[in-house]
Amino acid sequence: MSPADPIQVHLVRECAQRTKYVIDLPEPLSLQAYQELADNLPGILSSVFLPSGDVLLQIKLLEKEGSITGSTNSATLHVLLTKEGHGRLLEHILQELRNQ
Amino acid sequence: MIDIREKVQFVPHLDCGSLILGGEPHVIHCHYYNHFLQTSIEDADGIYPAEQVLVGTAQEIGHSQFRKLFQEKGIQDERERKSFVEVVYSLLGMGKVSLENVSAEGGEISTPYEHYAYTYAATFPPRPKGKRGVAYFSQGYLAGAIEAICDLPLGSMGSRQTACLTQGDPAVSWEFFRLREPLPLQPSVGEGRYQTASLPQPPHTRVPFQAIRDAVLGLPLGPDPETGLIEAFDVVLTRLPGNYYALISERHFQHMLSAIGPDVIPLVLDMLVESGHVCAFNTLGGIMCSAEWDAVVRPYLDNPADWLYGIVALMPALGWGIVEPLTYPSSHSWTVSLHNWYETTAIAALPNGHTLTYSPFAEGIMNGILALVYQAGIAEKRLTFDGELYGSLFRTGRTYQSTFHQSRLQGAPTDVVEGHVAR
Repeated sequence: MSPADPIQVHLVRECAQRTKYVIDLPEPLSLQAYQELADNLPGILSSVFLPSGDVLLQIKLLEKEGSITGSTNSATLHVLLTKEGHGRLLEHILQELRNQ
Repeated sequence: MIDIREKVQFVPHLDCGSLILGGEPHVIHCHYYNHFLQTSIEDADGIYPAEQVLVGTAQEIGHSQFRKLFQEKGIQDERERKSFVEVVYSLLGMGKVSLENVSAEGGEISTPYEHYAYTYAATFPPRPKGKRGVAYFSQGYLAGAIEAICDLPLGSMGSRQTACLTQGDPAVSWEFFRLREPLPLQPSVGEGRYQTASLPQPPHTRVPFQAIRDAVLGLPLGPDPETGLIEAFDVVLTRLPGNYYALISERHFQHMLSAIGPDVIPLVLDMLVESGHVCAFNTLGGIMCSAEWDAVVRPYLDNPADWLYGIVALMPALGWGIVEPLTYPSSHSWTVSLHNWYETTAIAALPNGHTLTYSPFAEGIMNGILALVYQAGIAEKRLTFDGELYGSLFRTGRTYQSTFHQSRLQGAPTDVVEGHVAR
C-alpha cells in the first residue's frame, strides 16, 4: 500500500486476541456494495436503520474470523479480526474492496 | 408463554440520563476499566479484606435487584426466577450461566463465558496459581440472586470461586453455601439520590445532543447469543449496575483511610482518577473510533471542540447522567455540570455517610477526553490505541487535570467540574 493508494489501512488497536483496523475508502459503500462484499468474502450482513436515514451495516465473517462495520454515510470501514495470522484475511478483504 | 427476554429491558429515564432495570441504574463500561478498578482494589487485599468489598457489594445489588424484579414482574416460580436471572446476567454482558444446580442450600455454577475471566485471560498474562480467580462481581451478584430466588435474607449465602480461566482452568466455577450467621450486608441504594435535568443543547455547535442520545439508545448493544458477552467499539462492554462501581470505590477509600490514615488519600484518589483515564482512553476512545460514531456523530463535527460535545452528548445513553457544557471547550479549559452523575448519585445516598467528597473518576474522564482531543489530536489523525499512546497522554506527560468547583458530595445542588491544563 503506497500513500497514493486510494484505500488506506490503519492499525487501531490490538486487544483480547482481536486486531482492529480502519480502512479509509475514496467514498462510502452503497447498500448493494456491502451486500456484494458480504457475498464474496463470505459473511453475513446485518443492518440498523438510523433515525437520520443512514444505515449502519455489519458483515460477520464466517467461522468467527471477525467483522466489518461501516455505514452508508461514511467512507471508513472498521475491521475487527479475531484469529491469529489474520494478515491474509485482511489482504483478502482489501482485494475484494479493490475489485468493486 | 411470554419470552422472558421481552420482560427484561433497560428502561431509559431520559430526564436522569440513566438506564434502569429492577430499580438499579446500569452503566456501560469496558473490560479495561473493569479490570483496572478491580485489580487496583484487589491489590489492597493485604491491607484490608478487599474480597469482601468486591463480592459483598455485588451481592447487595444482586439481592436488591432481583427481589424487586421478581416483585415487579410477579414471578413466583423458582424455575422461572432462575431463567430470569440467567437472562439478566447475559443482558449485562456478564456471560452465560445456568442456575440449574443451585437451591436454597447452595450449589455450583460453572461457565466458560464470564466477562472478567474471559477478557482477563485474553488480554493479560496468566495469574499465578494460589491467587484467587477474577470473577468477584459474578460471585457476589449470583449469591445475591440465589438469595432472592429462594426468598432468603440478604447475606445468608456464602460463596467462593473455585476455578478460573485466568489460571488455565477450562471454566469459571463458584461454590455457594448457606451461612449460619448472615454476612453484614446492606440493601442497595437503588436509584440513589437521583436528579432530573433537561438535556442541554449548547450554542455554537451543530452537534445535536438529543438526536445523538436517541440514536445511541437505539443501537443494538446486546450480548452475543452464544457467549453472553458484548463486543463493541473494539472492546468488550458490560452494562453493570453503576452502584457497584461507585460503592466499591467509596468503600475501598474508606478501608484504606481507616487502615493507613490520611497519608493514603492522594494515592487512592490518584488511582480513581487513573481509572477515569483508562475508561476515557479505552471505552470513549473506542467509541470515537467506531463505525457507530462515524454514522451517528461524525457528520456534525466541524472542529475539535465538537468532538468533546459529541462524546458527552452520548453519555446519557451510557447511563452515566447528563453532562451540560457551561463554557465553550478550548485546549486550555472546559467546564461542565454533571447532572445525576451515577457515582455521586449513589454515594450521596449512602445511609451512613461517605468519605469521597467528589468524583475522582469524573476528573479522570475530563482529563482523558481533553487529552484525546487536544493532545493526541483524535479529530485530525488516525490514532493507534496502544501502551505508547496511553503512556504519552497519562504517564509521562499528564497535560490535563481537573478540579471540582462544586460537588454534591459536599452539599452542592449539582456537580461542576473543570478540566484544564495542569497548573
